[in-house]
Amino acid sequence: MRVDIDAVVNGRNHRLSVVPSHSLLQVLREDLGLTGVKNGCEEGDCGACVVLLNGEPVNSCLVLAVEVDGCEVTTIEGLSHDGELSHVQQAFAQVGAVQCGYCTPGMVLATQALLTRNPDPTADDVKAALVGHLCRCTGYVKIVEAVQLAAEFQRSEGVTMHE
Amino acid sequence: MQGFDYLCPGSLEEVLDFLASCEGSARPLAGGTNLVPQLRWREVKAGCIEMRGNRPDFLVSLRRLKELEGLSDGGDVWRIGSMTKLKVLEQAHLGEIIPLLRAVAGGMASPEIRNSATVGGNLCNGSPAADLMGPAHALNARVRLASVSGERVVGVDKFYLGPHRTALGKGEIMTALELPKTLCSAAWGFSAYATRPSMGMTLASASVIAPSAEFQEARPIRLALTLSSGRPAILEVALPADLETAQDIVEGELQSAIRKQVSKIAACHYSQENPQVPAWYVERRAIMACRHAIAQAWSQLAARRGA
Amino acid sequence: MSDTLIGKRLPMMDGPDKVTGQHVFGADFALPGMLWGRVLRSPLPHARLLSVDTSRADRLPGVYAVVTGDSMDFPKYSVAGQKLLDDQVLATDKVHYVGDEIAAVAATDADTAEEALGLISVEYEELPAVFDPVEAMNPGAPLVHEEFGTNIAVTMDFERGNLIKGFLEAYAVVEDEFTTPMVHQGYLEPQAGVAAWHGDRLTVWISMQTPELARITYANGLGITPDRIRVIQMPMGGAFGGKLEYKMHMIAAVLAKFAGKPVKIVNTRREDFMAGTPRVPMRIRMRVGAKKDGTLVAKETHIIAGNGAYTNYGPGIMLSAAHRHDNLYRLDNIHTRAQLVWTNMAGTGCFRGFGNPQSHFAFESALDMLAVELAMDPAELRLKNSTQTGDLTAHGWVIGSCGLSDCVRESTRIAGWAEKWPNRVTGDTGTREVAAADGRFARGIGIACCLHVSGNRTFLPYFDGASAFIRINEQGRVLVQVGETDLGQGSRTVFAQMAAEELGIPVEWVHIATVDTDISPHGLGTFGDRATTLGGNAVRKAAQAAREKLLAWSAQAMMSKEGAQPAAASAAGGRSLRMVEPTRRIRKEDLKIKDGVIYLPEDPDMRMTVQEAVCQYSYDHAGSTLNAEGDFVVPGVSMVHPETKYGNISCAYPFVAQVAEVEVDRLTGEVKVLSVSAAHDLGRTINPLLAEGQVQGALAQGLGFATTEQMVTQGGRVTSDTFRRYHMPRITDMPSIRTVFVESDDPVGPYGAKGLAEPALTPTAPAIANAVYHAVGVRIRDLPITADKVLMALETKEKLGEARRR
Repeated sequence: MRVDIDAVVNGRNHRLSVVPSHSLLQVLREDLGLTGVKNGCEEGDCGACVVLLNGEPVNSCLVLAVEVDGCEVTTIEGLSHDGELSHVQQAFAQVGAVQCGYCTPGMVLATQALLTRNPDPTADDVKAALVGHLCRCTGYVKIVEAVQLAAEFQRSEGVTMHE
Repeated sequence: MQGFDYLCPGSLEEVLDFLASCEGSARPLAGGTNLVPQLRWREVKAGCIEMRGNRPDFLVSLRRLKELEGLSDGGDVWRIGSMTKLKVLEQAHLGEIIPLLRAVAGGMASPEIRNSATVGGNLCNGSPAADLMGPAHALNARVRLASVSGERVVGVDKFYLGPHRTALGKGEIMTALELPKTLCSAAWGFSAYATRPSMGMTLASASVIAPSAEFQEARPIRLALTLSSGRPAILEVALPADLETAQDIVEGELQSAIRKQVSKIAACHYSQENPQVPAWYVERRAIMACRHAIAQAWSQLAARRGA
Repeated sequence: MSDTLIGKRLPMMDGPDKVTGQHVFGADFALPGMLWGRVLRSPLPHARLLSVDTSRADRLPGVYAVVTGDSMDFPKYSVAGQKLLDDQVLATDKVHYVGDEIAAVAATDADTAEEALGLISVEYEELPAVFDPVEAMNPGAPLVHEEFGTNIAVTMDFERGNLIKGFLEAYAVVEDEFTTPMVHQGYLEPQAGVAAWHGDRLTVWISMQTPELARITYANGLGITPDRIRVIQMPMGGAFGGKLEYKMHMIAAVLAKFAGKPVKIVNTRREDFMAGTPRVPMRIRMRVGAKKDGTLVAKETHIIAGNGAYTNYGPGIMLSAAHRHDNLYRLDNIHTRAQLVWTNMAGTGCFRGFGNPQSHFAFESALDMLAVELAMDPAELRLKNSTQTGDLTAHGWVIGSCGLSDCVRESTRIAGWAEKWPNRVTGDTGTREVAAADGRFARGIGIACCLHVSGNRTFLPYFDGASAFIRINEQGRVLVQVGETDLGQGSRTVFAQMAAEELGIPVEWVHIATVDTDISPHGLGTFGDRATTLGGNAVRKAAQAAREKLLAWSAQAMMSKEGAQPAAASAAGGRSLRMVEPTRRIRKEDLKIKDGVIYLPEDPDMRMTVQEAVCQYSYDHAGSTLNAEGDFVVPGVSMVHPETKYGNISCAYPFVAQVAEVEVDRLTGEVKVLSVSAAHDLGRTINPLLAEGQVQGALAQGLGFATTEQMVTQGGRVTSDTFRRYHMPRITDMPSIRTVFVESDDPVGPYGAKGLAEPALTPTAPAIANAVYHAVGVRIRDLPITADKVLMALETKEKLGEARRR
């Protein structure tokens, strides 16, 4: 039996009628067409499906859609405003931290959450924050660079991140 | 009939009433990090055909039970609500009060998983690789369970019965983990061996609590050794002042306990999951983990004595 | 500072799409009215199919089609160019591995499709199975495919020079056996595809590297002609060789035919691990001899390679393992025997490096063993024997450019080899002179080299080379159609750089189309490190042809303009020019293009924008765009001789040397890789930013291959079928990486460029194995190098040492 939920997704109110066994990942991709959220393993091991739930990064494959009633969800599609890339998105694109791009949405969102919490992360802080994200293309080196560059962008604009 | 029905009750009473009275099977949903993959249509059985798994008829979400979240003072115990997210264990307040749990929590899975997973879920799921199990045993923890019939408190060593088996009764949910304050603030040590340095499965872990305030006083040191095969082995060993001798003594005591555990390893499902790590190697690493955890606790004791 | 785009650190042009989630991957693609497909797979490794009853599944509401091996006539087929036809789209009489496709369902949603799978009843008669290639070679072993009468699918045996004479000249000979396991490409996006029919024409939108080969293979598998198939390549979430032809695409096509609607299938991660095309596992026995001064004299090799249940690109892969590494050094006396063996495991296939990571693990380890015997610096041993530019190797390879010696020198330089290597003298007898020999942690340093090809002619009979079409429109925007696919490594950006460089326009004006076999040239795709060198040359030639045409037209236009109003000269279009006798002759050779402006250097007033030029061209040619094409037929290359395997297989060979530094924990056996210093001869670095990314990514895969990755199976079933159990490197596992690019400026490669991406993975495992030996005197010959193996070896060595002392 479907359950009605109200959730704010990328700043928009949605009323969705969801099947209880469907994950947030599935509902975001199929019911809302937000295919920027990726399915890499559906078991919480790869981080490709990470979204921000009330500002915190979670594996959307492990969250049942019914459980986000009353919550705010941010996907990669909700990060850029008016076509302008966020600092994190810019940094990732600029330093070559993106190859095939499949892990990128999850990485970018987790990075956004990290920088909100810790505006000046060390390389170790970055690695601890992104340990749940697999990348098979880049070898991670430029990803660490991208996060630190994004932090620099943020600092130089004196910006405190907000959703 | 596909799927299951879902409820999200607003109070503990509602949850317990439902669990007691429902026709059909019901499972409580905490963080979902263990349960959600299990619930999926796809469950790879031994034959490899991905088929429907054992689904309950009802899923009862606990997420609105805010009273089950957070730390509270229970007199001589600290009480951690079962719906407390793992990430809270790392945070300043709780982390300072129960440093052993902070040390363990920081290494569990990924930040994303720790943002969803709960203390109760980790313990009740009873995975042999559940990282909180060993520390809970070392801390001589108790588990508080509730049902329509009332509450009961069970020692964690009586609660956890083996891989994926707990003493959780029908209609019961865990409401809190209770930890004796004196042990929470004791010197501690923790060392684990997992299939990988991060995001792996823990194969052996040693959690140590050394409650002596006075260094020379040979109070028993509690060591919980988990080998992801059966229940943690608890050893209480009286230690002399000298660390070297202490380690030899503990190791001697441990060898036979570890051997017993290790002999079960090959039989249990962990081996099927990790056949590429030979049992003799796990045994070695288990002993090393014990030594390391004891050394850690010992140096903390020494520091306290110095301070 | 040069304005050239060649050598520019340009971020990937589709970066913004990817960081905003707009990039649509194969797994994201959808069509209206699309159904969801799921595949029923065998739980048994080897069994006869007695019956498949789909009646209950057929009746489930929401199910549009259920297909089995009996649904239509499924011809026996194999991948493009492969003559061993041992496969069928759906199993008919037998299943051959755990995961083998038996039936498939198309339904309105994923839940229904899955439920339907559970309603299909299959009766099996289980047969004895064989999993190990060596066992499968035994006369009494169960036959995987009875019709071939043997489990040995392919045998190769070839000789060069005089092996016996060679070994007679040897001062030192080493011999050992090395094994490499099945590993998985681990692409983050699982296999995915959508199939739809329009009349009798099939279109598939698929994440795949080789659209044209897919067209051929899928035509064979479905029993239709290739012209009835259109393959539209979707952006891929990683491939690394794992996304060549894949049966699931054909299954989607069959379902779509029976259902009368488009069908999408996406593998679950577990299915991908179970039924993908993992790297060919090999057991390699090698015997190598050298003179006292280190000159290599002879090499004898026997390879046993696992084909799995169905022949994929195994024969080509085994060949690459059999002969490529021999060309790394000057070596004349060679004998190699290689056998590809069927087993009841998943059909093995391509993975970055092809067969090179396997063979180089053996060879570069063996060379290190030789260096020990000769008490010689392993780097010196490589330098002594290095292939050089201009060599003709024993296998007939013509080495147009070779920076191998420079790679050895550079990688050892940046790694600090001169200080770090001589601190240890290790010998098999365990004599060591080491500072802090009893310390818990021991550091070591090791080197390994490799070479690769830039495209090759060894197994695909059709052709090699590439072609490209180019179109410039009246806004000056360029569309290039190529036959090579971008796997996410950025070939589209590199091609754009080349096209823009030749045309003198901003790189943003160039768009490289994804491959659509109805429109694109029928290139072979991206594999064998062919994209930059072959595809790049085609793009370059097409752009040059377009430039010629553009300049010829512009010269005409400028001469006509001489008499026209200045105002008209700046108009973007449509104003007719008064024809006036030109006051000078302007030849196309005199014109230059820079930043999108065509001009005459000696008279800057004579200029027009590319847009103006093309616009006028277009109006003069009834609205046509300015089109050109270029094709690159690879010079001096031929298919190898079928038996002897002799022949120059590629036009350009990249070379690599990597130095790994490790720290071994003697207590736990754990090997920590501290750093990798990598020197790559890629001919010319077209885009250093992307090139660095390739090396770093490859090193991560090499690290995994060396130390943590292994597909674990039990009774033929893959048990390491999740990322939790299959250990790919994570962000916390990476060592520090130092990269140097050696530019040997290949005569054939575009701007001198050769391949890069594949060889970057190959030397890592042997470099690490050699470093471990240097650190603690034990050699692990069986990948991955896990802690328990190292600890066991250390303890065995100690016990042997004790025994000797007594």
